[in-house]
Amino acid sequence: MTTLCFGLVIGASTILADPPEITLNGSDAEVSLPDAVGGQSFRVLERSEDFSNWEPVARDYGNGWENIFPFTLPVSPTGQGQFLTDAINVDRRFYRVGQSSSSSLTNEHAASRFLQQATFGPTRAMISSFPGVGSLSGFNDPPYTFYQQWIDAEIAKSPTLLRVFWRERSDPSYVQGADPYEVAHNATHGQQFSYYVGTVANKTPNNEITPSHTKEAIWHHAAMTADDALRQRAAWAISQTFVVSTVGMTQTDIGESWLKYYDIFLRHTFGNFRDIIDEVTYSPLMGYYLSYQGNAKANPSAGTFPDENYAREIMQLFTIGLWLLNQDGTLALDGNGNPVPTYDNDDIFEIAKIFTGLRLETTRTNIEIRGTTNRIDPMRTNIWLHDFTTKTLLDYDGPEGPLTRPTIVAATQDDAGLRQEIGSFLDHLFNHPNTPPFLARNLIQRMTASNPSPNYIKAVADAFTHGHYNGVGTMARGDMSAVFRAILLHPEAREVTLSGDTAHGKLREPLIRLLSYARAFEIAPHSDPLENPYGIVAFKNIANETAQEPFKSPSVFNYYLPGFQPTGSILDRNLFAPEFQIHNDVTALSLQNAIRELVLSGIDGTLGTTKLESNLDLTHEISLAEDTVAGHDALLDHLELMLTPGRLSATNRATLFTAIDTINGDTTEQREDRVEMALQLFGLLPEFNIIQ
Amino acid sequence: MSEDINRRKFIEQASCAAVGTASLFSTLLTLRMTAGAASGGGPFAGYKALVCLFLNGGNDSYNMLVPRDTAAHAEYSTVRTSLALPSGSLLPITSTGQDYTDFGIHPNLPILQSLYNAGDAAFVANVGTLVEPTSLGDYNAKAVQLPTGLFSHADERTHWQTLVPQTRGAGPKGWAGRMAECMSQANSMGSIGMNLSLSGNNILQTGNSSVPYITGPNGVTLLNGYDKASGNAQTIAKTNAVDSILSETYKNLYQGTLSTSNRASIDTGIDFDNAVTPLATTEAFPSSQIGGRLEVISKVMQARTTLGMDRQIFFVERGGWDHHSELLQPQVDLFTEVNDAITSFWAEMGHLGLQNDVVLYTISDFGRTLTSNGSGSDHAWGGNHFVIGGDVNGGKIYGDYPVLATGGPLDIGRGRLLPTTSVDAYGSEIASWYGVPNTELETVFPNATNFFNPVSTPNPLGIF
Repeated sequence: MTTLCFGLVIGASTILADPPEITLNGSDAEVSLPDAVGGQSFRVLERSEDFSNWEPVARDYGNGWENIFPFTLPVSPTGQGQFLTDAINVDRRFYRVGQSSSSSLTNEHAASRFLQQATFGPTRAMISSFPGVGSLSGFNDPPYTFYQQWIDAEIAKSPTLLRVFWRERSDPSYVQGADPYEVAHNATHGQQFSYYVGTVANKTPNNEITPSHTKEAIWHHAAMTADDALRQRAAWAISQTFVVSTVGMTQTDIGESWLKYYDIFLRHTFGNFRDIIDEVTYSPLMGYYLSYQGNAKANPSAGTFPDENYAREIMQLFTIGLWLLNQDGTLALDGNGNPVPTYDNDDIFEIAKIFTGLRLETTRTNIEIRGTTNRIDPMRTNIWLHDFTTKTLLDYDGPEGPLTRPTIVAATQDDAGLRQEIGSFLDHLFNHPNTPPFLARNLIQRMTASNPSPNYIKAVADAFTHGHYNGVGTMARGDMSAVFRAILLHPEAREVTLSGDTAHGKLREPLIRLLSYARAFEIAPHSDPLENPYGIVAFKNIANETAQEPFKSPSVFNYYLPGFQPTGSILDRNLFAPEFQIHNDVTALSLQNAIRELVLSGIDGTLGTTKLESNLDLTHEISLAEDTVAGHDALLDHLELMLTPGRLSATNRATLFTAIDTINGDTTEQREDRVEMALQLFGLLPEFNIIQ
Repeated sequence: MSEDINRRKFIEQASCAAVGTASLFSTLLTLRMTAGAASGGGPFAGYKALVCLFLNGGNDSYNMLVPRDTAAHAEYSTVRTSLALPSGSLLPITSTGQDYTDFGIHPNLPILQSLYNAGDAAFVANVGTLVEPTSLGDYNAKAVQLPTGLFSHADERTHWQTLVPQTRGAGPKGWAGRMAECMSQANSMGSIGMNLSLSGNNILQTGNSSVPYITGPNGVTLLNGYDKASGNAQTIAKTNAVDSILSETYKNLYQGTLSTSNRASIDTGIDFDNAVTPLATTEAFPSSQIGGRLEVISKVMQARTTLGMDRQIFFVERGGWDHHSELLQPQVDLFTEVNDAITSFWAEMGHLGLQNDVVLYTISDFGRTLTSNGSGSDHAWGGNHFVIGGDVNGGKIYGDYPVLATGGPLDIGRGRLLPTTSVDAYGSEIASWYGVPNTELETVFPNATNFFNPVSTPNPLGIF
């Protein structure tokens, strides 16, 4: 046994007395990983070739040693005496083990942190009513029972659906239709939103919410005020996979069509993925956006071929992605160590034939149609345009074993046959082994972490595959409730010792950061009905400030790509940080300016419209902000709880203290000045912008 | 192997005692290129600016530069059917070096005709992303490496910016970023790098260690309530607090990246605001997407001495060119916007005396199918581009203007044309004019040597 090097740690961490023992096994080094010592301890194994640049390769945050993304070095199973195997293909390599500890969070901080992951932002009421928050012990211990209870309660809540909300408040002639969500007008509300009939936009007398603003306004109102907070946040995450955007689109002011599309994700948030891809496929909005509405089979004499757009994107973006994956999200390489594409251009050419013969439904009343273009009802078929030839699909190892170029063909050349064919292809993608890890990683990136470990991805992928997380679920493949439970209840989301891993966490979406301020500080419609006749809380054209607004993704590729790597330390470690793609010199500061504007003036003409004003309610904060040391502390404690739970550094806290201490006096106005100063500064804290 | 073990043992023994102060975490790089030699004395004399105009979506550029020769126009009309522009509507130009001499420019681009005839603009024909020279036979047999994701927007617009089209994605980084890194001796002021984008983050201007400064047509973005020179006590308190927060060291990579970039954004914004915002242009600019951005660029160029810049690369993006469903009228509107913006810009460059020091050039995802799909065209490959600048050998079409026919020698099907000039050749001309040394051109354009020898022939087309 030859000891190659030794372990030591410097900086803020504790030096371990014993170096990791290293055994040479052929050309591999087996690095022994020290056994757990318990407690709130985070340990990291790093390696270096030059003793000055160290890269973290493995970590233990209380669940045994595992790889740190993007490494995939073999780690022996969890238990005593773990070791890591590293092929030695360099002149020399050093290893060291570092350890840091973090104090555990109070229950309230832990709940608030969870709510930052699971909703558009915590409120005081949500924290104080969180299950078990008053319990003396075990709040943040596995199996995270109290968090499960919260999730259960959220799933049980009645969904706030955006199209329903709009229908109740738009055209007074709307009645209940065959579709249960085609609800009637609610005269209690009366008309609050404009609606099209024929070519006429029927606006409210003061046009408070313009036709093109309608869908964003309702989305914002739900995001900031709806009771089903988990559903709203989770649906937003799903919607960033199945992107349809007004950018480059027509009929962007037909609110009902956009809201109906978005409701697919609100109705099936805790339902099944197979239903989602079905409804998306038949959506007339998606049909137009990805140009397969009216798509025709090939016409050799005219030299035309079916449009390939949807065939490409349903695979690349909505289900299987570009490369074959293992269930833990790592690339499944071929015998030569190369990534394997999931499909090629010939496959797209073939699959494009399937998405032929879909067209808009005929026009009718009781829904919002401008002219005669029905973008509400699911597309119907046109069998004359459909290619009924046999199609060869992808081969993969599915739930029923390996497939070799399966074929599908409609049993009958009619409407039923066409639908059966599309259904078979959707089943094919649904059953593809890539879909669980591909979806898992996308959704994890939206909720909790930019660089999830293979273990985390696998746990979420398994939840999709087996339809449950820790036994809770329908046991059916594609169970989205199991997927979100896995994302939020996995130790990688819950354990705060992971703050010792410098790559843990993510930059929060800019829109969510702004929304979280509105929620944390009790945004409410202006009490004067003249200033807000409908009690709607909504930003307007907020993309100017956040580079992010619902229904306005720059393209079908969403606001940012899963694989974006900002230049600097994140790129150096080959890590990803999608939200940094829209973080630049303009947006970084305009978001902070928007937070400042929200704090100082609420939502009026700058962040919204003067016809629909809303304000924060800072009464509680003002009541804390006595001009004493205790008052400063009380205010900062409260703001830390709401905005940076459990992660505000002592130095930054002292900086904030100094800043608010410069404002003297105890009048309401002076207290308010202290509160507003603190709120602006919290917005600039890296601890606020990043969740870890 | 035993030698390796001995070497390791040696190093172990030699360094075991060395408890260094190396940080546990990797060093955060500065996100902008910092100062180099003083301007005016370094290797880059004078001032030069590039303006990259990205027509996002795939400009149907066989309706931008059209044959007027009778036989060629007849062939064009046949293949383009309802998309063809009548010969009489085109703005006449002529060129040597092509199969015929009479060409025409789209009627809504009179500034291009005027600059072309004055010798200040040129076209480059049938340019597209290639990995290596590719004949029709090569393409059909897949006998050569082809760009990944051909005809896909995301792939192709990325390839135009990385110029490593054999590799999918933005990993190879952008050639304007590489240019900045090869020329780091330029520009004396540290806070604003060589690359400046008027259209957000982009791949073109992102290098291995540099990113562009981002600004918009509405003026620079500053952090409100931050002002070191304020007389207001609360403003000063807030400013000091911000400075403290951003001077901390953050171990979390995302926090560290945010803190560093926010610090830079605040400071660069102030420098920029002081230098550029007070300025005005002599010309009036249209308030269009392109016009507003060229106006800001003109002001930045006007402030070049204050900013200490001798080399600048600007990026402007204009979307809306993906004319699947309708081509003719949308192209009229877009070309009008391009025309009016460039007209003001060129006149402003005249006032600033910079017409010989600026080059404006276009890039786009791809050209479009010659054949119509009814009223529009679909994604294709080779397309035409223009270059404007006093130093351009204008009044000529460079490259090889192709035969416009299905079944023609370059048709890979559906009227998509195989490019005959690589973007590398096109880019090398531009980069070489800008001042990238011949010996560095291969770094900037990794595939260049597949097409020409950049050291001996940095200008393979003759545009400059």
